[in-house]
Amino acid sequence: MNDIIKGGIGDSPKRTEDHRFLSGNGRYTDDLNRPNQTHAYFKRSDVAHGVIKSIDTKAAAAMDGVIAIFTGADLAADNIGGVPCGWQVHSKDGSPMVEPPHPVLAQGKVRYVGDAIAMVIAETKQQAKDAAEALVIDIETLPAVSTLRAAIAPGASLVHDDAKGNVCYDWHLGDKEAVDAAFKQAFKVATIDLTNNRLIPNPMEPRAAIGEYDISSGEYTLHTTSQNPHVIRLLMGAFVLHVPEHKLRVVAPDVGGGFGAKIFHYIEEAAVTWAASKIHRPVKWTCERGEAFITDAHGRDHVSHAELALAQDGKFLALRVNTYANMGAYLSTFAPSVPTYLSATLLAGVYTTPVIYSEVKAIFTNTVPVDAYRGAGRPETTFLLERLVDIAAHTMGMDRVAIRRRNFIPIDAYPYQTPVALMYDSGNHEATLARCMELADWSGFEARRAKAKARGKLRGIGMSTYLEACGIAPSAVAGALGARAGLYEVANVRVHPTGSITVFTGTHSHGQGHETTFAQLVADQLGVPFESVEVVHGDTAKIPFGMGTYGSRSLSVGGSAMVKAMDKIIAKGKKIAAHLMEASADDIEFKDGKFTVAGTDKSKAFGEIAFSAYVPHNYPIDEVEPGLDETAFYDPKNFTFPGGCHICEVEIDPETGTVHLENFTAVDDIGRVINPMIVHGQVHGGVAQGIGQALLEQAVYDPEGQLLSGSLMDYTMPRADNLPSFVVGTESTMCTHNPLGAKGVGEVGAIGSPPAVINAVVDALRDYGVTHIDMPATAQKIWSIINHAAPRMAAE
Amino acid sequence: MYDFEYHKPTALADATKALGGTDAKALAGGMTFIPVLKQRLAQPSAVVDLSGLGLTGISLEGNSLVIKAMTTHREVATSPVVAKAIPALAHLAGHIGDRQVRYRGTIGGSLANNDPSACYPSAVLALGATIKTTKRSLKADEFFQGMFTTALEPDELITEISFPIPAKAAYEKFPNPASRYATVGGRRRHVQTLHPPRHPQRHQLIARLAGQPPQPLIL
Repeated sequence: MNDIIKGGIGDSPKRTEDHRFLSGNGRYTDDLNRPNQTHAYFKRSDVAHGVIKSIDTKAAAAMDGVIAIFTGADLAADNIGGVPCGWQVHSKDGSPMVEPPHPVLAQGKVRYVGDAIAMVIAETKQQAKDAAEALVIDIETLPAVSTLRAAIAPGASLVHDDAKGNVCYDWHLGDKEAVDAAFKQAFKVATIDLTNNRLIPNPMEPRAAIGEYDISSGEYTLHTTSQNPHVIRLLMGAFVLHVPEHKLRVVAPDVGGGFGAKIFHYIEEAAVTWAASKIHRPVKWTCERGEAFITDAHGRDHVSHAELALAQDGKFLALRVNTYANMGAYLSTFAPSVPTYLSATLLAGVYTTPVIYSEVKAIFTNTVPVDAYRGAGRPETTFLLERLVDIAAHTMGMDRVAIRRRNFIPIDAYPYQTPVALMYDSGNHEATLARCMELADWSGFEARRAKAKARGKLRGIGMSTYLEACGIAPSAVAGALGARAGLYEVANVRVHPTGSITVFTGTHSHGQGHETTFAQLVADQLGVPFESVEVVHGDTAKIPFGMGTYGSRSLSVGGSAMVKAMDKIIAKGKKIAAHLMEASADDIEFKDGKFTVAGTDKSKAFGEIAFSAYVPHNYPIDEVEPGLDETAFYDPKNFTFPGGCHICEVEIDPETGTVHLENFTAVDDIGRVINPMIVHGQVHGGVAQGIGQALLEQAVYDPEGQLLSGSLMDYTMPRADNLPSFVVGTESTMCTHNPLGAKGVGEVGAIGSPPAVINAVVDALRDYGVTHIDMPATAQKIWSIINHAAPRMAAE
Repeated sequence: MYDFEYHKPTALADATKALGGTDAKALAGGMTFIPVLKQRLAQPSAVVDLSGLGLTGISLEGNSLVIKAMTTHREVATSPVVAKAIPALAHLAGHIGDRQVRYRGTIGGSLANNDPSACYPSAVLALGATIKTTKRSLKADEFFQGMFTTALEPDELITEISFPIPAKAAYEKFPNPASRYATVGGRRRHVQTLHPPRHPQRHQLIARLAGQPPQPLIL
């Protein structure tokens, strides 16, 4: 890599996309209006479980502006399938998970509040809503199971008849006998029972979709708020609508935040696309905020019991974890992978625990489907592990830092094979720990605690030392673990005749700043000005293929594909340059945008080579084709493993139980950094979400399956005044297996921060005999602890 | 939102007449009413916009602070008159909702809505304010009748609120973290300072507990 050049790797140019976003010139799906467009409104179930006895559409169909009303029967008659699940997990006994159909519109039964029953299409949205109210739907209500505990209780009502006990799968990983044997040798055992609270993602832009059908060509087009338009095309075309790829275009234009919730193929996408072909007019749907609460896939919602066997010197001997994971009413696209392959495989964390055994039961409930949400499985595991390590320190009477250091995977042990499948390629846990402790002034904390005490406040400090697996993923590994798609990435680097460049990427930017970061990468590698690189994403008609953006994969996988494509550009350029300068291609060096004959001052600028490629008058035509346009598919050899240390310092007002965040320090080892400003922004956003989970957010269902936290008045999203100014540092231990050395930064903030916050809260309350507080650590829970009352758990 | 007729009268008599029709509703700042309409939780035949009535302004009348009904929270929060007469009221108004809400929301709208978690009702009760309407003058404890319920008749509008100026007053709330409405709001007033009451909490802390009890209580 070169030294930092303006607009190159390591520089922090302002984000090119922000001008249009901040000036109201973004083009989001809801900003688009198609000629002759109609509007869809979905009539949704207001009961969590029931049998649809009848749907009378007659009065509604006669209302002003109504064009069509479709129900599950119409879709079934047209052989439209359900939305598929993209990941298959097998139970301990080898049987595949129970995978009930997820119909586009309910077939016979409704299974959660929000389940779509009918689609009303009218000239205006108001008319569609009016008509939806006139539908006469008779539902015989069935008992609902709205929490994990209710769903696994003996005799619980079944969400799906073929999922006995509401179990989707009963999976395990690791060596149970070895773990049991190790526990027999334990000096002490640390245990924890915890709930990883259910979250509602709430991206700023609600979902939207516009379906179109061109009767002359038979082509379908879907504009949608997606993180991965090619995946939507694949799933919707092949499994739902039975339309081949060349007749289906999916466009995800500007998208206002995803956080995982916009990965999945939702029923509304299929419904509007199908309906457009029935009424021969475009069909537009835009989700309302309240509707988003009951239809966007929720996150987390695990209940776990874990035990850590400890030797007398504090070494971890074995870990045993038992988890129940809420799937909701249907299997969302990647839901089965979250508590298993994205979660249990990380139970070693940054520690040398030699044997680990994990069991996971996935459970259906009458709630919104639950799927990947920023971090997807790794926040759940990190929270469990980092809380358990603090409890282990307490159990052993050891210092929290000392017990971590005693069990760290040492730097010379890398690459490190964990007992739970993963092979970590690189990491330096001592470095991130030491730097974070220094930045957070860990050693000065007791003085701050004493001062706070003098003011009548309870001050606490907590840390997490975490590692996560992202950059998903090697296709072969993912396939062996149950993924039903490859997980490579695609880049097309198109050099234009005058030397400007358009890069087409299969990743998708919905806040990450790819248009800036990728332009920097290309500018740096090809030695062209940052401003002369355009990044295009989000349209299956423009981009060869791609798997989209999630799992912090865009730079490590998508950026690596770009490097591979640029390698081809440079190799071809060398041949052209060799011809023009009458030298051997082997003697051509490419640096800083110049092709030079080694050892001479003869050189050709990148732009000259590009021009020659498109105006091949003097050209090695027998050796290379004209043009300078290369595509690369890059399939990584391994996951990437960012890690780091987060430290949180809190002060609690004992009169009210309110937690005030005093300081938050994050030092993340994310490998190569392209744009430090964007990296810091990613950490800030992730930490804010992690703090939201730790202190504020909680999806609550009542026993009948009504979502009580169904609005922003009831569900607490973190706001600026909930957060301190963050101190953020990065370390760069390079990833060893991709050409950039990049690891990924999109999720580390949300993964590392929740346990740091709760460890700090528990530390602040150490005089009250508290060893654990479930998230969110609300003022009510803390006030109850301080007042020696049992904390009241929400909706359990 | 359902369709409705929209009226924007410029005279009080026209406003009360328009409200006399069936299912007409008054629109003050709309900070609760507009979301209710958007969620189709109300279906009024007509909406009577009160913003053209000139019902804004803050003044001192004798030993009372008089605030007209359509005065916004922001106007109360930043008024030098309020700051001098009842600084606690300015503090209260400055902590309602967020900046956008404070520029739109009005004192009259808040009182007429009588949300049990709102800030103004407890102030009106604690300070022993008088609510003047198009028909009469009501003492605070006559005005509030229960959660979202007041003594107002359908065609009756609040025109102004008159607060007797206390020697001292204070307002604190414990906001709900999501809505930032008060989970508990408390206001104290000292009617006279020469002989502070022996049990100020019991007599003069006005607490409103979220939803239950449904209206302000003097503890």
